[in-house]
Amino acid sequence: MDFQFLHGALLWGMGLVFLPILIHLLRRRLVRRYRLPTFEFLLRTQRRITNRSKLRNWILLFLRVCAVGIVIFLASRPLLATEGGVSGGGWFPAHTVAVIDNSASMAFSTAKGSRFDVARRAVKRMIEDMSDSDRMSIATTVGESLTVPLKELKRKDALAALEGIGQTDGKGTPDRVVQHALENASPKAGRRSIVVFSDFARGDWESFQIRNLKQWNPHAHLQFVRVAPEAGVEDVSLQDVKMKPWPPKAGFSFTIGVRVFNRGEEKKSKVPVQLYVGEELQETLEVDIEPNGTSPVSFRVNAPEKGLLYGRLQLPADNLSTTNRFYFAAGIGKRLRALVIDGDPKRGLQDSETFFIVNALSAAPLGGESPVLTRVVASYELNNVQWDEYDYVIACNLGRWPEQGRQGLRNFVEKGGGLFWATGELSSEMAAGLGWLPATPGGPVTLRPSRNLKIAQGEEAHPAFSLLGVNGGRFFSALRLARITPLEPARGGRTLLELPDGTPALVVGSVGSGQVMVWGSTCDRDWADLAVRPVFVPFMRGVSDFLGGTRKGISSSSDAGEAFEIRAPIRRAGEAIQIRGPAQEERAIQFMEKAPGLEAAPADGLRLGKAGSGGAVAYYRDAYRAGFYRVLTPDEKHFVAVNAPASEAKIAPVEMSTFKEKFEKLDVRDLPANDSDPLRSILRLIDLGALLFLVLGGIFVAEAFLADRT
Amino acid sequence: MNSDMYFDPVVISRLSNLQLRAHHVVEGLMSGVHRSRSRGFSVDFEEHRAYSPGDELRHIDWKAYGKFDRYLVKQYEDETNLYAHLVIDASASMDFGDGPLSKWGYAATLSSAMAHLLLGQSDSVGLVISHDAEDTQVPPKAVKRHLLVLLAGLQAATPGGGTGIARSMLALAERLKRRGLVIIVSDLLDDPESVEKALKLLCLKGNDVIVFHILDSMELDFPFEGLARMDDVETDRNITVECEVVKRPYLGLLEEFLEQTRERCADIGVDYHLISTAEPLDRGLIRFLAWRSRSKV
Repeated sequence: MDFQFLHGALLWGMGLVFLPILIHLLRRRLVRRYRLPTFEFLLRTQRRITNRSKLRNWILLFLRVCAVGIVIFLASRPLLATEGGVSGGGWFPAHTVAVIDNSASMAFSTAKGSRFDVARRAVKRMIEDMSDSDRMSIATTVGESLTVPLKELKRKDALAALEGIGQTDGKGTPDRVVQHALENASPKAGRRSIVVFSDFARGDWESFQIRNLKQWNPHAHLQFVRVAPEAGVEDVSLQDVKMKPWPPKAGFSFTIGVRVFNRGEEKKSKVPVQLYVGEELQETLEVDIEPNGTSPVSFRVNAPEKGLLYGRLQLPADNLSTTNRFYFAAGIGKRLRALVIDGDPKRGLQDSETFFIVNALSAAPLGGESPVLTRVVASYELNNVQWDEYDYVIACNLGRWPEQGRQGLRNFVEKGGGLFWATGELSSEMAAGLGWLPATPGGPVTLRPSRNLKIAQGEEAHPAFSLLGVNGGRFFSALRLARITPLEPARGGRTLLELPDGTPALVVGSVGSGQVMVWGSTCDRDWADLAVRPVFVPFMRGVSDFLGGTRKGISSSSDAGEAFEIRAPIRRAGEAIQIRGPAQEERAIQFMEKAPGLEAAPADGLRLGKAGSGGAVAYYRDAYRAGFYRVLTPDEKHFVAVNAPASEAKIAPVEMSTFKEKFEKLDVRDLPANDSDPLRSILRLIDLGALLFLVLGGIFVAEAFLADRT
Repeated sequence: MNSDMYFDPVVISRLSNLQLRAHHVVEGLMSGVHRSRSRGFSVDFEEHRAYSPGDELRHIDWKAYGKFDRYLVKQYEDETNLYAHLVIDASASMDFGDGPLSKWGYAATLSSAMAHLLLGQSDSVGLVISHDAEDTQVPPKAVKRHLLVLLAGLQAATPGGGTGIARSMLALAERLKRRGLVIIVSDLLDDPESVEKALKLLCLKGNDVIVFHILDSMELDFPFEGLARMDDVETDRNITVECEVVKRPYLGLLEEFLEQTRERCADIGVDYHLISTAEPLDRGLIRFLAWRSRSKV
């Protein structure tokens, strides 16, 4: 049993108990003298009552001292803390908020199940111990508890609610949930308690500070129960998983590096570290790990040309299996969508620039498919273009075209779209409305003799030339340009290709979030022979990758407990998609229109991750367990790899001495896993206010009685 | 002047002369009752006085006229209806009082007023001032001038020493040859048995006895508060008491004492009157006159 006080500082007022004694002593010093003829009667009276009077006076003094003490005690709100649960037959109904840590570290197994199981059993016992008038709320450190008001539940409902909560692989937010519990502790209840069951793993609790609680409610008693501390931290886990490059490029290999950490005090030998790609075991490496040491392991994996790459690293199951697996997933080789605008569609097919461009972008290996999907439109169709369906735009010899389409193109670029603008005879009509481009084309100039091109100094490594291999400039030195619209770089534009005399022929620059390349000639055979040169295909594919995004995969990963975001073109707003979780549970989420942002919406398919704005977005908030979450759509499938947050690997508890320093007056008690009666580890708080009030009333009655008798 | 003012102890206390006090009280009383004078008839020559118109001619002393060539009227000592003795306690306990008049002052004033009344009705009035060991006595006489003697005796007395009221009453009882009226003015803080015995003896000798039991309001009400050291006025004893604690039992004992005294007086035929010094002085006189009319003495 222990006394606790809500307003302990008021106990300093206990010095006031000496007040009656002081008054008594002062009164003795203030004796007045009187003469009295009837002294004999007084003498006889005094002889008769002296002994009784002295005793009565002492009792009165004692009662008055007690009364002052009890008033101070009452003001300090004393609580008698005894073992045996927070509720169970109080004078006033009690409201208890049981906060259960269901973060990943609580999955640590003990002789009696996981720590989470031990905590849940204790809460169940608390619920069973409730009186009919008591109420219980249940909150978890990971989950919806933070976003909804806590319900005050009766016994039956509380048991049902307890069954509904589960272990997660997420990171707990104890600050927020305790704050939430403090705010939600029922003001109507006579006694309010918040009991936090946790392992106090560093990952969650290291940064926990009581001062982080915005609104401390001194009337709600907060106690912490450390669950199964005797189980220790014996565990082997994966840490510091690094994948390079990540996401990988299509068809390229990438490495997975990981450190295997042995928290135990015994050396672990030949610990198998398994790499699964897809569902197949790809490789197993064995490591020896010293106590409290780590061993690095590295794998090399080939990324596919296209499709979904997913897999996992895995250690044998042990006390905390959550940290023994690491899931990864990425979409590889997604096809880019290009819009080709033909500014002069009246010409014959094989004379058209679009012919050469589409063919260059559509080139594919035998039996394969091109990484780029193209669509050709004429300039007069631009008003009807859905710009956000494309990754980039190639505009050829554009002349006059509608203002609306011109503005749409500019918005598309500024939001992140790419633009390859090839000049031509009609370009001068267009130039006046394209002042935002990184280069201004001059009037057409005929080159006699024709000239070749060279890569501007320092630009050899530009992504547009990445597919040309080493010394890509040689391809351009063999070209012949007969006619050109000399470019004048503006607004930060950089020259990539130039004539031997330095006249810019290809300029690149940023406009908003997008990239723009201005080509000072045509893409057909009229002005230059580029379109029929072998360099044209790798050059245009390089340009395509540069403007539409790289051909790297799209990483799809998230931390357990965190909502992940799925992005899609705006046209998919309102569409529902199914998500299938690691336990094969399915849940539908709906795309909604995202507020206009700075970045462009993806041109096609689904994008997973946190970045981006614009377009449509859907959030999945129930990814509480580690594993793969499959995004099921009719045309595409994506995996989102969800892992326990890296911080959850820090399962060693915060030092209790440190913890108690933070919570000087708060209770931290241990709940052993094999405790047959978990209530013994939970404090029952008895508010002594009513009892003391009765005692005070009794003292007043006795005092009045004795004072009256005297 | 409001008639009540005659008897207000506060007003009386402003009169330093006891004669004035007595006169003041009696005049006040008589103005409230009637102004007639009770005249006896003379048997013994007392003195001469100058003739004044209205005097009966037969009272003119013609022999004196022959000697002094002035009309002188013989004054005779009035016939005495009653021999009265005022026994006044002059112990130290009487020198106590919270109000304007101490018990002694109140007793002296009351006694002198009664003497004034008695002498005005041609009664003989004697005085015994009781001390612890011996008494001061003034033999009874019925002449008006005797009032001055009595008052002089009272003014000369100073309360002090122990109580000897029982002894004084016993002594008086043994001395008295004739039956008469004995008026005891005392706080009776003496041995109750002795007091009773003395009163009995006075009564057995055929005297009418009136006891004016004078107590101060502080004695009767015990208005003290807090812790107090109480000194006995007649001895060196003292005690420290919690006034609130002792008040009730003290008042109980006092009431018991008063009740016993009242009962004893009633048993032996003594007319007993308890008077607080806070009461107007006419109360005592009215009680005395009431007794007088009742007894038809």
